[in-house]
Amino acid sequence: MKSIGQRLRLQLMTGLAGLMIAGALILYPSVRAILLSEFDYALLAKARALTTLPDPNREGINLSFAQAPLPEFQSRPDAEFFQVWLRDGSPFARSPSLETADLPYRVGPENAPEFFDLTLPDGRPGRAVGIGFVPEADELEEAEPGAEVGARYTVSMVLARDTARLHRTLHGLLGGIVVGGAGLVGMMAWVVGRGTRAGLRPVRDLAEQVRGIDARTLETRWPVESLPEELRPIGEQLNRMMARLLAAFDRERQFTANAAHELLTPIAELRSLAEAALKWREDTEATGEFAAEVLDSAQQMEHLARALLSLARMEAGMADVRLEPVNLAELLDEMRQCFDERISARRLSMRWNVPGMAQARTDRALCRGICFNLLDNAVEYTPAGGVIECEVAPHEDGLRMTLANTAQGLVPGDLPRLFEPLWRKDKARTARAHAGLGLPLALAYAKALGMRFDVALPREDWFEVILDVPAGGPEGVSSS
Amino acid sequence: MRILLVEDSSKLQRAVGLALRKAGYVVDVTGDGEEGFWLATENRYDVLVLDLMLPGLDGMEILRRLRKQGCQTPVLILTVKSSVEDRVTGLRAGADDYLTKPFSLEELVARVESLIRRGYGERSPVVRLGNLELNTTSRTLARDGEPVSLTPREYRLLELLALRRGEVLSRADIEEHLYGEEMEVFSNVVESTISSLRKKIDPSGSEPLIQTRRGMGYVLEA
Repeated sequence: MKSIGQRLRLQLMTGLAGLMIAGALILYPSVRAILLSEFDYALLAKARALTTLPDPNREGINLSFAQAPLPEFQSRPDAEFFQVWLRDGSPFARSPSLETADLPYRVGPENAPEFFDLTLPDGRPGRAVGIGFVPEADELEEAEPGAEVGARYTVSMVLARDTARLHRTLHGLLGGIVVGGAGLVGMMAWVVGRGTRAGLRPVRDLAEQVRGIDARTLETRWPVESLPEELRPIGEQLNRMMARLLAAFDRERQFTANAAHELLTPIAELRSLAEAALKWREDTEATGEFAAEVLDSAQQMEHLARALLSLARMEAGMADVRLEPVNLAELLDEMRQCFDERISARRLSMRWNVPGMAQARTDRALCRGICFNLLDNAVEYTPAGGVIECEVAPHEDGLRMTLANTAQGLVPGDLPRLFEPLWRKDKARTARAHAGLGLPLALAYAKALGMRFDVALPREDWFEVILDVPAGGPEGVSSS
Repeated sequence: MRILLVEDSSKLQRAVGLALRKAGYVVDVTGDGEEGFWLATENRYDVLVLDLMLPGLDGMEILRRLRKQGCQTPVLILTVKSSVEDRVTGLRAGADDYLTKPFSLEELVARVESLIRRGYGERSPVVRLGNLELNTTSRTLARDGEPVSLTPREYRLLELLALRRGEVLSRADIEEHLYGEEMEVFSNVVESTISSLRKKIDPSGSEPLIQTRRGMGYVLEA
């Protein structure tokens, strides 16, 4: 059962029904015992009243009510019965209702009379009390003070009456408990159902709101203050998740838009160039240029696709890392040579402070990828005539490489975005050789190598990348 | 007809520029937004083909500024931005047409033709000049159904005069529209083209279709 409401209702109903049954099991026997006790009390009281009526005298015992019997002891449908025995056990008197029948002789002493169930002579269920007693002998006492007549005239009496009315009452009580209980269970079911529905309404509302969320409604936030205390942590967590989800969707949308732009422009170029070359194939000069440009566009697309694939592999943890001692100075120098032409074309000043023995323990290919992308980025985005500084120095247990360059237009808010794939500060995305993947790739490589990678704007119009590289040997770094 | 292409992709500049030139237009090209805005305000173009994401000045901003200045040149936006919102924004900012990349060069040229016609109040691609029919799509001229052979330069001049018929065009206007700024124009090229065109379109002994307004320029009365 997955519904909280159903589970709550079932548990509450089971619990309440159990309590009711337990209550009924306690109530009925208790009431039955009380009624029976009352019945016995009345029976005993009547028996005691009757015991005052026998009148002992010198001739024996005179049972006054035997001569003028009470109406309930006459033969009639609701008759009661009594029978009196003398001390020797011989029947002495009986109610007319008994006619010739006898009552069972089960008698207790006067202070502990015996109660028992029996079937009355007329077949009705009944209950009787048997009591032994000594009739009071006022006259004899007056005549012969001190005579012990009591011992001589001890008699026993059994008084019986039917229990039909008592049983009817008990049956009625039982029926009332059962019917009332059933009704109560029905009412409880209604109350519990209504209560749980009302109690769970905030949960249902929350669930309904959550169900209604899709990619277009990620701005939804829950008014946490109006939520019940139990749901408040859920609401707060949902709000935080929605904010993160919205940011992730925005990044994805932006990535898709950027990727579409990065791909659509070269596709448009390819299509237009191919169309023009086919249409004006007689213009050999133009078509020759177009072929070279088609190749250039295809290479740009290939570069973009490879960079994206490489990024995806890194992010999926599929980097093939082989740690080995790498001379960072040689590696950086090798990478710098790749950009010599562009550096001189753009009149960039290089300030190089890399000790010749700067040894790192890292993966050569991935480290080369980091250095290449960082230098490529620096050379591309340093304004013409600007400065690029590269420094490697000991830091904690390893080396710290700092690559800084003059840069214009970057603000602190741009720094986190620099790592978003395909993000570019230049909205026109004019630098076609750069798709905005250099820094994300360098970061992905650094993560794969467990390096700390950070960016900063250390001073006005300067951008800086900091990379902490594990040292490669006991020599660490030494000045060249 | 003179067209300004503002597009930062050098490859697209070449392909689109070639297609438009082959279609008989004079094309000025720039890849910078600021320069594009300056060119559009300094010259009279028949159509402006405008990319949106440009260095220097955004294409949408160029469009807004031009319209604010009262520039009525038809504008065709050429961009990778293809969402409905982008199209609506572009058209509401004053663009006359919107084409998304990648595109067919043929379609681009057809849209430019359409914008030029609409710019001169023509709906049909066929302009009637008495018994002459100038087809601006097939770039042909016919007299009473019979084709009249024209050189590209003659056709461009006739098309300009036909679309702006009744309007006196100075020699400088004609040079600007037919040859652009970058081409060195020989001093008598307009006169010689007018002369050769008259021989082809005017029946012998009739009033010349293209009339000379001394000291002012030329006008086509039809």
